[in-house]
Amino acid sequence: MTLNNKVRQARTQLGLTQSELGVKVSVTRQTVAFIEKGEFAPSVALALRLAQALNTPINELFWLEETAQ
Amino acid sequence: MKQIFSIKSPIWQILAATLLYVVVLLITYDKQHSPAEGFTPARIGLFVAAALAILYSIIYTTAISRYNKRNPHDTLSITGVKPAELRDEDEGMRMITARATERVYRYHSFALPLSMVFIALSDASAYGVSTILFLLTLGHYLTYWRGIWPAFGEAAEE
Repeated sequence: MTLNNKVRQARTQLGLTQSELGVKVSVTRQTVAFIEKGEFAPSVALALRLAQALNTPINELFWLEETAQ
Repeated sequence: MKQIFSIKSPIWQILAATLLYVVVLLITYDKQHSPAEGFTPARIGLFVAAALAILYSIIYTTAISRYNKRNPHDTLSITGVKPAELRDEDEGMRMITARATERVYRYHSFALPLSMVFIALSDASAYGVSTILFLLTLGHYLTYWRGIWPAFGEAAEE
């Protein structure tokens, strides 16, 4: 199972930069970049903060995808 | 270049370790080859190293003070035991630090036994042991640096 997200898409739709989103959810711009690239799976608390900041239901922002074994 | 000399970069520790290594070599040389009194090249070198150490301390202290002014919620201590290069501003940076420290752990798990065997087999002199310890230290910081590089590499805003 891999964790996918559409944080970048939701962020750009709102016209936010990574820094601006970082300020809204109290993390560094680098952390936002890692999440968008799928290099870092955020904690539940951060995922909820991102969903709130991006006005997107959490299950639409993050989802699990089956990977071939 | 600015990223390399960031206060959270291991370059500061590498510079300090290099300075210390030079001082250790000069002291070792002085003990073995210099007369008890008088100015020798090794002692003049030690004066230069002391001046460089003072300059380093002033620059490093100033850099920490400037960082603390800009980041009042993430201040660094000059006298504290927590190294400045540990990134822990948020959970993403803690992940980077965790990955980098795991690399350092793996590095030491083979570098330390190898060094012990090398010292035992080569009958290394005081210079040799100092050099091996310096190389181990250099390897430590370079391994850590390579691990945290993604945090520096994410420089461009997207």
